[in-house]
Parts: sequence; structure tokens; C-alpha cells
Amino acid sequence: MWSVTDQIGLRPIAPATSGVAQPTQNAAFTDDDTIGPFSINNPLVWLGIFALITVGAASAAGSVRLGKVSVSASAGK
Amino acid sequence: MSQVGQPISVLQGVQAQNVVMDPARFYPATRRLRFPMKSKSAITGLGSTDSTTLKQTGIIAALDVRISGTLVWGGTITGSSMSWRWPLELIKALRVSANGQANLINVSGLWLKSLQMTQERTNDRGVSKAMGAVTAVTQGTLAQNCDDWGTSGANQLGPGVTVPAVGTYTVDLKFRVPIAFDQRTLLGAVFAQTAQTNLTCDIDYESQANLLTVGGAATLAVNLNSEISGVVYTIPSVGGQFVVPDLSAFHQFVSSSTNAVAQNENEIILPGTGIGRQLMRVFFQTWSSSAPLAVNETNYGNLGWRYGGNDTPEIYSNGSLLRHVNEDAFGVDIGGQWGVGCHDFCVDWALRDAVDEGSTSDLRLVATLQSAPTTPSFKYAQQTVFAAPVGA
Repeated sequence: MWSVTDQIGLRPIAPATSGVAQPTQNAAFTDDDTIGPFSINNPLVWLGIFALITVGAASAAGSVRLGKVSVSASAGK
Repeated sequence: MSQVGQPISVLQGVQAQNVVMDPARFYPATRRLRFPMKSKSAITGLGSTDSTTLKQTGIIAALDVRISGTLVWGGTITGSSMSWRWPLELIKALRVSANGQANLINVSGLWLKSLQMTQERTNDRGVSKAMGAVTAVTQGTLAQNCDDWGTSGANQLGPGVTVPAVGTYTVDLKFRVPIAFDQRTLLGAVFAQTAQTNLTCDIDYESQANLLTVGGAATLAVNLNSEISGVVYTIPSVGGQFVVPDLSAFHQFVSSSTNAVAQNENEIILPGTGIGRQLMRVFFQTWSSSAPLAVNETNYGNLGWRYGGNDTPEIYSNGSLLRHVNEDAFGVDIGGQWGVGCHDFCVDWALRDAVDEGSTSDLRLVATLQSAPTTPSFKYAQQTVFAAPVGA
């Protein structure tokens, strides 16, 4: 009822901005404390640490248990 | 850690707080403010410019510019006179720029007064002023009772008037600068609540030589002050959100002139037309022999507007007819004394009548002069509303 289009027939030029004010496409990110590749704040570092621990533990356990055990598998009848 | 900033909104091309266009919630909640944008102080001088940075608060709807003071004539007054630029073109150009749009307003005081007279509730009926050789013109002066063009006792200054006697003449003029096209809905108002851009108002004063002639043995002291008062609306917070009216359009009122007019039909191209613009009004005035030509049958033949090859939607067969139609529309005889004519497309219903400049290429005025003008100047002013993302 009170829009510019309703009052005088003027339609906005693309991109449309009438109605609700549009946020900009570029949200404001700050880059003043970037994380280094080997920083403990980098989640990839922690992922690597957990992977090493897991593989190391499995290797130790296997050397004990797999000494005299044969592993077989079959499919079908 | 990285931080994501607050969402940023763009309004009229500038970054703003996170506001929402919601006219229905805005109108009941806002408050009208009026405060000085420039306190009363002496003007920089005739022929100079006063620049004012407007306060960046709320939504600016209008400015009121007042110029007051005295002209002190002394010596022997013989040979002293006022030109037809006095007093309305004391403001040679008033320019308002906002939100990246240069010169939303760029017109002289004459056009500001003419536009003011088209508004409801404003007229010049019965206001007596001296004009030319007539000491008491009471219709078509474009003056309000509060306006003082120069008074010293029973003596008055006015356009084309010979200064009657030495003395101290008081002057008091007020010009309404409509930032918004519509003061009710605030269509075209300027979002000023931002530090992203400057809002400026410059006033160019006409030179003394163009305003008046000082006789050989006469003296003149100009003591004028100016002040600017703003009409501003607050941006209310409703339900936790800041709300504004539809500010997706700008209002523009700018003037141009050309000397390339002659006897018979003239076509004057309107500059700056384009997609996303609606033409609301076009004013015009023709000067010949340093005075405006009255809008009548003697001076003007066909008057109208045209676009494209030769599409001519409206044509008035002579100046007198247009003068009648203008007085019908505005309640003011703008053409009789000051020679102002107007092609109006919004006084009845802008939605229906406004001219879409996107579909009227080579938009131009048609002005037929009955006689060859002497040292002519054809002045005209366009009032448009355009979508905010479009350049001015």
C-alpha cells in the first residue's frame, strides 16, 4: 500500500531491494588471527594425533594376538 | 578465532544497520523531529557558496532555508534598480547531495518557490508585492505573507523595481527544499542514519551584479544571514527491529537552461532521462530582454511534451490555456507574473499520470515562441523520482 511501486508505479531496478533490506553477499569475516597448519588449534592436527594413536595401538595388539591364529573366510555354501 | 561480523544491510546504496522496510509499522512509531542543520549566521557573501554538512540522523524529509537581514542603500539612489533575479534567484543554486547521489536537488530559489506553490495548502493569494512598474501586485507573486522582498517604510524592493529611496530595507525569505517527494509517505526521503557517506547542502548565492544595479553615486551594504532547519523522522525499533518506510527511491529536482531557442517551435531535450525514472513535473520559463515572458497567448503558441519520433501526448494550443490549467491545478497563477509554466503529471494521481522515462525515449519539451526573443534563455527544471540503485 505504501510501497514506491504502489504509489507511483516505479519498479525497482534489479537487484530487487524493496521489501526487506537485503544483507550484503559478503559477510564480514575477520582474518587477524589465522591458524597455522601445525597449530594445536587446527583440528586437522588433532585428527592426525588420534589416527597415529589408534594405528599404533592396533599394531601392538595384533602382534600379541595374531601369533598362532589363522584367519579364514568363506562365501556361499 | 575468526569472527563473523553482524549482517550488513544496504539501503539507498549505503551500508546501514540491520533495518527492515516496513511502512505499516514505521508510520505509527516514528517521531517527527525539527532541528537546526545550520544555525543562523552571516552568509559568505553574494557570488559565494555556503556549504553545510547535514546531521546524519534519522530520515531527512525536508529542509527549510531562511535568508534574512537588510540591504542598506545610501548615497544618491538615482540609477539603482533590482533585476528580475531579485529576490527569488538570490539563491542561484541550492544543491543537496546524499548517499552517493550527487545533486538530488540542484535548482535556484525560483524553482523552489514554484514547486512550493504546487503543494496543497500553499498559495500567494492577496500577498502584495512590488513587481516591475507595479507597486502592488496581489496575484502570482509566488510570495507568502511572511516573505519580505525588501521593505523600508512604505518603499518596497522587488523584481524589475527601481529602488525608490535610500534606507534600510529588511529582507526575509524562506525556501522549502523537499528532500522527499511526498511529505506524507516520505517517498524519496533520504536515509541519513549512517556514517558511510556525507550529506551536504550547498547554497550558491547570485552575484550582486546579476541581482541589482547600484547607481553611480549610491552605496549598498548587504547584511544577510542564512539558516537551515531540517525535518527529520526517527527510525523506531518495533518488536526488536528497526523499521523504515520504503526508501527504495530518490527524489530529484534539477534545473537546466539553454540559449538555443528562437521564434516558432522549439524542441528542448530533457537531459538525464532513463529506465527506472518517473517524471513528475517539468517547469519552464523563457527570458527575453532580461525579464521572463508571461505565459500567455501573446508570447507562446503550442506548448507540450514529446518523445520518440513525434509522439506528442499533450499539447496546449497557446500559453494562456496552459496558464489556466496550471492555476486550476495549483491554485496559484504561476505564469502571470513570473512566467513559469508547468507540465504536471502528479497533482491528480502520480500512479496513473507520471511519465515512465523508460518507455519515452528522447523525451523533450515543445515550446513555441510567437516572437523572436532578445538574448533568450530557456530555463527548465525537472522533478523526478528514480529507483535508488540507479545513478543520478
